[in-house]
Parts: sequence; structure tokens; C-alpha cells
Amino acid sequence: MTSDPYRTEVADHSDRVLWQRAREGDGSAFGALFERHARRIYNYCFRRTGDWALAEDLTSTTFLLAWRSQGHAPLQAESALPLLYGIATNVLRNDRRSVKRRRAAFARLPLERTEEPDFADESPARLDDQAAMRELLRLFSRLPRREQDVVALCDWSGLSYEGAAAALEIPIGTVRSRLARGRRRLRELASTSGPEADVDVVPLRIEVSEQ
Amino acid sequence: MNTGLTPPPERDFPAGRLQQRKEQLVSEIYGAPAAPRQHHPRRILVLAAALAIAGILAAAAYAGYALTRPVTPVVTIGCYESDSLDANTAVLAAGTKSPVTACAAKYASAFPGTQRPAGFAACVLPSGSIGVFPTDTTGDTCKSLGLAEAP
Repeated sequence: MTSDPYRTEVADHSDRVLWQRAREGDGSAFGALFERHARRIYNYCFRRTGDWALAEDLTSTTFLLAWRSQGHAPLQAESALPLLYGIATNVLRNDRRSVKRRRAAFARLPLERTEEPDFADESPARLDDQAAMRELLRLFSRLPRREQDVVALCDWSGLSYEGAAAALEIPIGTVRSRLARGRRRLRELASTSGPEADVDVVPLRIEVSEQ
Repeated sequence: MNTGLTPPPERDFPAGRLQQRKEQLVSEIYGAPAAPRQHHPRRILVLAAALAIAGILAAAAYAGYALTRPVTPVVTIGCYESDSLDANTAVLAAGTKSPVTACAAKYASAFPGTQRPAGFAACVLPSGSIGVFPTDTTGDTCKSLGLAEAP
């Protein structure tokens, strides 16, 4: 991959420059933006859903919607991350049917598939991640949605207060207050709830243990 | 992390899929796979021709291989809610039972509210792993999905 000199060239540019080049029709620039930020959006989506496969789909959806909703205008910030986190947060709010529809749309695209197995490559560690994350989400889902968003962005994804404010389009003071409330509430829930939380998280892809 | 509730560590995209997803997106947005601008048009033309030839050969080879390919050793199998590759999927650990038996045993709990199908068919997915699909009595489910039947 690194043998492509142009790819190295675009990878050195700021998000704002890549965005502008993408707007001018340069698909490689958009691809470079995806490579730069996909991992963080992927992990953010996983931590909101507890499902690696769904997180992968949601990451693609996020970038596609970012382009469709904002591709007509220059990027306002130097980094595209707050925009992407904000769109990912909105995508995560969408109902199950919308997500399923987008998955189907992507699946229809005529692309060659890689040779890696779909299921055999689910390493035990990833399955453990999913189990642990879903347990945490059972507790987390008891927070008001607005507090979930700021805790997930600031504490789980390492976004600054300013970044979270830009992502959610709310004032920084609101981020701080929601974060403080969310953290406090989460600590209280953790101290009062046993492992058998009664709030279910229903992912599209269901893991069934056969032990 | 100030809540004391720490999510699992971050992970990379599964190998190979980042590139696949990127091409998918660029194709969706621009109508064609991402291509560098022509800084070296001659070299790129030669490369494109070589890739096209390689692609045609690979496609021909794959077409012959797809319906007879062996199963990749699996630790998990996919149990599909309906006879579609886009259907909801339950991931089952590949135990000692046959894939069909394992899927049949878990189908009702994995897809509550969905009527239990008449039967199941185990097929070899394009990835080489096993997918189990609901089937009717005709037994052509794998073929209709363009997949080989699992042995």
C-alpha cells in the first residue's frame, strides 16, 4: 500500500484539505479521510452497540451520511472527527430498520469480497469484548440518552469538551454538566445494580453461546 | 475514565476489511473505485491493464472454485433468520454438533417471533465458513443463493 506515492501524499494533508479535495472529485482524498478516522468511529460504534459487525456497518454509514449531508460545504473545523462523531451519534439513534436497510444497500454494491471467513475470524477476544460491552451497556442504557452521548464521547472515546460540544452541537457548559451528571449516575447505578441488569440491549446480530 | 466502568480496549478493523469498506464508500460516492490522479499515466495504464487481466483470470478461476470449495476450519457458524445473505444472523460456536443441528436447536431462541422453518440447509459462504439457512422441502437453498452445499 505504501508503494503508492499519491496515497502517501494525500495522507499528509489535514482533514480540511482532504475534504476540499474530496469535494473537487478526488475519491482518494475521501478514502484517506476514511482510513484516518475509521478506527475511532468503529470503536465508538462498538461501544454504543456491543456488536463489532454492526459497528463496521455503522462506520460506513457514518462516513456516507457525513458526505451526503456535509459534502456540499467546506469543512468548518480542522479535524473531521467531531463531525463524524456527531453523525455517528445520530446514526446510532436511528431505529433498527434504518440500520438494516443501509446494511442491505451496502450489501448490494458489486464488490469483490476478501478471502477471510466472516465468522471464523471472530476471535475469542472479540467475542469476550462483545459480552463485556453488552454487560456494561445494560447499565449504561439506564442513563438518559443525552448523558449517554457525552459519557461515550468524552470518557469512552477521549473527545475533548470542545470536540463533544461540536459533535453534539451543544454549548460546552452543557457538555460539562451532562458529563458530571452522567458519571455520577453511572457510579450510583454500578454501586446499586447487580450483574443482572434488567435493561436489554438488542443488537442486529445476536451471539448465542453453545456451552 | 472517571466512572470506573471501563469498556473493552479499542481494536482495529478486521484485516482487509478497511480497504474493502473504503472502496465500497468511494464507489458509492463517486461511482467508481478510488483512483489516484494521473501523476504517472503510463505506469498507471500498465498497472490497470495488468490488474484487469489478473481480475479476469481470478474471476474465471473463482467461478469454477466457488461451488466446489472446501470449508475453512471454523470456530463459529452463522445461523441465518431467513434464506438471504442479508438476513439477521446468530453466531454460534461450532461445537461437536452438525451446523444444521446446532442452528435448529438455537433458532427459536435466537429469532423469537419468527416461525420455525421446515428445515435447514448448511452452505459454504463466499468467505469459506459455514452458514445455515432456513429451507423448504425443495432443498435448493444453497444453489439459489449461489453457494455450495456444506459437506
